Amino acid sequence: MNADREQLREALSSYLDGELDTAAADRVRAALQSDATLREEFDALRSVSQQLQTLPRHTCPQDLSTAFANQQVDSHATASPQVLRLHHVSRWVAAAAVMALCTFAGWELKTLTLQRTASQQAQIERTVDGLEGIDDVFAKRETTTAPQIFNKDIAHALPATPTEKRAAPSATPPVPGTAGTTITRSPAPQLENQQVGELLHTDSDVARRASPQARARGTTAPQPSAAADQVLGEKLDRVAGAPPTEFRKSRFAVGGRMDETAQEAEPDAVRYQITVAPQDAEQFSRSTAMLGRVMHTPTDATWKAARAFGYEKYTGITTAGSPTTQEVVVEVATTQLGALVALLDHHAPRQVQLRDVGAARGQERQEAESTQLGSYGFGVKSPLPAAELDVVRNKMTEAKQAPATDRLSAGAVWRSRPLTPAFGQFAAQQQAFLGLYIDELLEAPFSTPLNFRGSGPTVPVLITILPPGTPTSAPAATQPTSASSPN
Amino acid sequence: MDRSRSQPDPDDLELVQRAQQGDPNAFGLLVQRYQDRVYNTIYRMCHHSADALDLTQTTFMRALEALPRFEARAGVFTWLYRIAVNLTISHRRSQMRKATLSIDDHDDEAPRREPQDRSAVGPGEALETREDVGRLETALAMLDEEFRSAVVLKDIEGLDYATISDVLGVPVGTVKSRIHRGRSTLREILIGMEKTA
Repeated sequence: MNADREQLREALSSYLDGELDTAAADRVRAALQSDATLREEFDALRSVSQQLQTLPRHTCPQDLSTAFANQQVDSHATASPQVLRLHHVSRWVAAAAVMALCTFAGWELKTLTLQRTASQQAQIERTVDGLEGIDDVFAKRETTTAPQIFNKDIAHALPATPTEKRAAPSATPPVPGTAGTTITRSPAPQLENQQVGELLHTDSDVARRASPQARARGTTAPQPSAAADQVLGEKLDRVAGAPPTEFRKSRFAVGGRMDETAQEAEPDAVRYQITVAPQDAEQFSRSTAMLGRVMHTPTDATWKAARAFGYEKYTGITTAGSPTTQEVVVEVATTQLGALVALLDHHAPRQVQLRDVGAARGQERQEAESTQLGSYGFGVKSPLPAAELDVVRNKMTEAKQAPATDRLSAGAVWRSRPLTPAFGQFAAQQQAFLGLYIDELLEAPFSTPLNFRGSGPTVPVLITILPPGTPTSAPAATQPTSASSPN
Repeated sequence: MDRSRSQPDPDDLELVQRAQQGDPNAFGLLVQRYQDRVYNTIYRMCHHSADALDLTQTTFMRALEALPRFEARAGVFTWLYRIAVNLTISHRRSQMRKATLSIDDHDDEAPRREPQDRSAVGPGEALETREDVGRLETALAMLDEEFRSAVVLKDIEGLDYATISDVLGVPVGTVKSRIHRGRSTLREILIGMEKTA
């Protein structure tokens, strides 16, 4: 009987899709009439199927037919135009990846042209230049043991235009923990609010509006106007002058999403706080570098604006009391929050706290349980016990150490066989970014920016990295077992 | 979306024949006809817009190379799907995903979408909010490769089991099992998300 019922359950999808023969369909139909549980399961499968059918369909963002037009069928032909990849870490890496992929597929490299506007090409070149600059900065940093103020170094590595000369840092990085240390900067240029507003329009916004696809769609997105720029600059000016706690909550904090059409002046409240309390200078250095990767991208217009104003206002560095405290608000997808916490934990094991401080602006925050790192995932109310956390660490280490060809299988095993109920729930939420990707994110070049705005809703998160050795109110973190430490 | 495998589309076959006979525009017309569907399928399988575009281009490059050997045992579209799905699966298995900066779009921003026709969907089943769409897309991305490809080909592309069997190169019984398990797992993931939202 159980085997029969199991067969009926297995046949539900085929019945839904009309893929059963008449006799089998009749059996399923009869069972559905008499078995309420089976009927419920059938309804659930039908619901999932129907939801999938209503997912928006995506259209190809480039018209490839023009590239293939005038191509004659000839397996020996080699065309002259070039394959252009649409995203680059560096042009050399991209070229190597294309060659590797074609070699893997056993192909002779075929080449085709894609249309690209001049502004998009210029943007790519600026980004590549900027990334190469970041590589230089971090290459130097990794050979030193003293922590540095990462954003200061980045500021001097990133040219706003390809021709801008990279200026040397104007001051020696301060030694953390030295009382009374101040951070000196070159004087910032004075900008009118309209000029600031112009800076805040991202290159990609402008390029997108000017792109052939946007024109073909007849986009109604307004072109940046002097009046809109003025308003935007005024908003930033008002927020910039606010007390630090208010600024941290605002959407104008570096890394927050700029919304040039917003009419309200009220800032959004921070939803989550992640506090990192590194134990030593090494952890501090790595944590701040990790934070720098989360915050900054070379095309981030807020970064350009911050540089124009004198960026210490926007990076939350406090100059009194704790001169090396690093704070930033970033928009993080709720499904990626655990991954972000995990990556910060990688650099400062068990020194990370995640707190839900409430969502509504102007309302009493409804504080969820304050959790130690063990909870990891968004929405997991009870902390993961230490033993489960060690299992997570082991799997992260395993995935990282596995041969490249096996890494996906390690992640797949992790996902398909949840080790504990709590971890299973956590894995179901985070598996898109853990097991499969965490090892790759850790292995990515240290300078590579990371984007935690995944699909789905995002929440503003305040990330604070305390100076090394700062005592916190959290219970003392237990040391990870030697077998499980990813470091 | 009924794509029965009973008869190949004669228009597609005509284009293929013209391309095989040296018509320089015929293949471009085929690309124009199917690039959106191929892209959508690949995107749903890899959930990465830049990779999806590259793989779409590679699919048609591969098809152009293989065109002299194409025989009309299955429809042109089934043939294209097979190339696209196999390429996507190989790509995901063989290439490490590194965090990259997307120049034109953030990776997480949705590619262009066609306007949705909601008239065909009952009020209880439509994805009403962007959050619903995001949640479902995230859940779909969480499925294991073999289940995701089967579910995408069935529920998103509307292929029948026999065509999916052709595309994936597995028996029809395996297709049935993968679709059922894929939907069941999706359901569990969505329930888990709702509980913790």
